Amino acid sequence: MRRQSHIETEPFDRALSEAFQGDPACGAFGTIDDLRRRRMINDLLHAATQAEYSTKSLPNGRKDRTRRLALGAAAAALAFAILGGVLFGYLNSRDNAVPPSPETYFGEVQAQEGIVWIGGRTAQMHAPLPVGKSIRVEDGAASLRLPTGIEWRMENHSEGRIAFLDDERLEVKVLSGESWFRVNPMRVGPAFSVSTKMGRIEVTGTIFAVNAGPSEVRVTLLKGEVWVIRASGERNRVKTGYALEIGEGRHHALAPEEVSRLQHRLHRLDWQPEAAPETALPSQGSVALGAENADTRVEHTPRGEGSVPKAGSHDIMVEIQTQRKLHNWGRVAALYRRLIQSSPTGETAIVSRVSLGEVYLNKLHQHNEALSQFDKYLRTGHTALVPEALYGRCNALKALGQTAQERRCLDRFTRQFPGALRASDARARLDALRSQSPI
Amino acid sequence: MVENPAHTSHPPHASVDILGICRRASDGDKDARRQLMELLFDRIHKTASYLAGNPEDARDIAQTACIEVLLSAGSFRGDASLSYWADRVTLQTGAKLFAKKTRRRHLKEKYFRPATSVMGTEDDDTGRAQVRERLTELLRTLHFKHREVVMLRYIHGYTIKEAAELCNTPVETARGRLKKARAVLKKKVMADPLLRDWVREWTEQ
Repeated sequence: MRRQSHIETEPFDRALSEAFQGDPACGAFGTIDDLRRRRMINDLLHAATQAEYSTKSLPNGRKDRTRRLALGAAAAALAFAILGGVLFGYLNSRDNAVPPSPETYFGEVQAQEGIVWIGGRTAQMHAPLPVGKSIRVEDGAASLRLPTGIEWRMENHSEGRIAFLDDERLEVKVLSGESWFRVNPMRVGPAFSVSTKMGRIEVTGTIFAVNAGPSEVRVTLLKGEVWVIRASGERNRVKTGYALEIGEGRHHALAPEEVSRLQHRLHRLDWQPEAAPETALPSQGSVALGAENADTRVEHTPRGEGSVPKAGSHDIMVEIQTQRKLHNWGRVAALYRRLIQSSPTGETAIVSRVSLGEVYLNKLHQHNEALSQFDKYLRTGHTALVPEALYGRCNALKALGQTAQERRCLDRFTRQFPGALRASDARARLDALRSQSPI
Repeated sequence: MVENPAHTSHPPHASVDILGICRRASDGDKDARRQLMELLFDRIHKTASYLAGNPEDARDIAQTACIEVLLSAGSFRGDASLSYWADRVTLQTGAKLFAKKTRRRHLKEKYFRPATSVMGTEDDDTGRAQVRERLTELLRTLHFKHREVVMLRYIHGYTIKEAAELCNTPVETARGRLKKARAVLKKKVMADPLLRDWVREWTEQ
């Protein structure tokens, strides 16, 4: 027997072996983060199934060769799908765009307070988003993250999809309902645009909402500006504090009440712009579009009574933000109460009850008052903040020591919103309560 | 003739659980396939990353090997460790790919981190990570057959006999390839200041 070569005991060999001690789990690929790893495994499982099906119907004699071919084809298809954030398209031109393979994924579900359907199947948090497939949200809302600085929030009963993706261009299509986008102006990546049935929106770093109704699409700007290219080819710029109804070509300033409501929504999302809307809002009126530069007023049309701006609520909201930053919670609560009293049935007041409840619960530790606000909100029938109000109610009951009611509340919360942000905490607390008192 | 390794660095008998997973995976059980992928994903990618001469080939080898592992899970009998079996599949995949490749590829750093951005684990120090990165680049300059045996020997820690069996080659051939690869590698290492210092540290120990 040949003796073990001395080369394997030399310092050089020990040095080589030692150099690779502690290398990343995937070697020279480096550390692959969990999301990418999960996505890659999903793609591999899918590709294996495809390769398998392509050989099943063949006689045995042909299976080996065909399986190798199918394996090669599946691996080749997979090579396009699995990249670390860099995806290939095989399109010719922008106008003749064909979506990439549906197996391509981009982004993930970051948070959900409702049910997310992807391609007709329910999806959980962190589920990867396939390009080309429908993404639908029911019974709540969902936040999606698209890499390189794009947050996409889909409200209840909304639908959209990642319509196009290559190295240079990313396009999201809003099919119906309301979607919010926050785009980091410093992002690096494919140029981002949002399309609707009536036009396309070019985005460069801004916060805006797209509401796609059956007969009209509305774009509302909360920060920055966007260019809307209508189906006719006309380009319209929409600035902060303005909204554009694409179909009618109506471009108008947002009423202060609407601004308050939207700012409150941003606060809930933790998307507050650094400052209040920069442009001075006109007191009333709408602007009909007639030129490319949409912020040029052409004519004024008085708006209906329902949209008469309510002076004061905007100021109160601004003051609330200021006091929040200063942690003057007593003052914050008083301002919320004033806001609610000024227009008890208005949307701003309704949603403010949840904010007020949270201030009472978490900052002022006035648990009875907190419970009262959450209950009042839940009685209004408003749906946007039901998960927050319900979870807040559970915590208020816990703080008050009302264990039986807390347990019923947690049970309702976990059943109604199994995918909500706090659902796992709620389930843990419910299990703890059940173990204390099994009945 | 390749000898069956009498002593392997890997236990010859796999746990029943692993066998069960492989059996169910070969029947198409999705959960079992996912479990199998979770177990072997890192290993296959690591092997492929050092086996290939460039990032694109590494990715191709890793993906094809993963699919092959899923489709041939039923062939795992438990007479060697799961890692050993996965390495064999990966090497066979790499060998097939190498045999097909007739054109040269330019090295692209798109998939791998660039040399200035050092990858490592939390316990790793930057110096070792840099050495490793340089060594990986040198590995890629070797012939595929040499790279294969160097990777098995120095990175996965297989014995020469095990490496020979994995490469499906006689032990003497594997030893000869290792000796030649080592000579080439040593010459290149000594020409690199960072790597030379690293080796000298070991020499002085």
